Amino acid sequence: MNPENIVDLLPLPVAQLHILLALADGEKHGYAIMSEVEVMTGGSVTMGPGTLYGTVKRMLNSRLLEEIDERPDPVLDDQRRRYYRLTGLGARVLTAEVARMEQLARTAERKRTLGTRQLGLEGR
Amino acid sequence: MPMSERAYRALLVAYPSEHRRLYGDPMNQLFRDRMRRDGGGLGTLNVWVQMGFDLVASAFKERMAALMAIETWTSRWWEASVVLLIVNSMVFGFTFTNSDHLGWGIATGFAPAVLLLTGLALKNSHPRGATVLLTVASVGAGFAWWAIYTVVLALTVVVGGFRSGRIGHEPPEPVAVS
Repeated sequence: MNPENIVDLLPLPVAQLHILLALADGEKHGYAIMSEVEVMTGGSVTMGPGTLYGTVKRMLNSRLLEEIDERPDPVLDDQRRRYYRLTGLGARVLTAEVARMEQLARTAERKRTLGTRQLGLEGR
Repeated sequence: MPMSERAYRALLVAYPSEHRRLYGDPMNQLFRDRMRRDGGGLGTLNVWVQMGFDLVASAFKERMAALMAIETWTSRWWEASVVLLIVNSMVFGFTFTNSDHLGWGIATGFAPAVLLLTGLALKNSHPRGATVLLTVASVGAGFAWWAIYTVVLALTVVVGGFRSGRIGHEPPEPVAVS
């Protein structure tokens, strides 16, 4: 698979989408990613270490993420933590996946409207 | 180190060694962070339930991924399959050609060779298919041939024996000639 071919990577597994979204506003370590996913999903999704790092491994292999050496705050930070950020490909895949989901949501909305009309439920 | 962390570290053995080597420490760190935030009393139990499900599901996934990854189908596996296939071929070929079943001897001598050559030809272009083919040929076919041979032999002896009167009948009493 050509990693530059975004279509090959879509649709993204849910865990990958969550991680890409968590990293969309900057680099984070594992615990920060997990916390961000919890906040984003209103607490309905809590990623465990196995799921998180298994997914991160696959995303590193697909070059959606990269590990970075520099520390945002070397004084306060634990040196053992690993930080990750989106690659250019990761950002493009995230954009494409969100666009795909928007398209899907529009289709669902249209069908719902159509269904309501067909059933004579419009306005109820 | 608290007991929970020691236990979690020990349970990481469920993951493939390569995964542990790369992510064992960060996974421990994440577990520690979760315990620090949510642990204590029922919270500890809650974290353990979540971590337990996560560990079982993700370890199974990683094990399957490692099993299916072509990198793990090492050359040693190939060598073992090839040796098994050749031995298999020789044993069956020899057995059959030295019995009354020359056709079986030729078939069992040539079939593994054909599978082996096909596997070798496909090794670079379709490595996974070639490995599966070779494995099936060397292990599966061996069992299949034994089963077929046993059935054929049994039918030959039992059915053929009954028909010829050599099995299932008492030998005729000698007739006294006066």
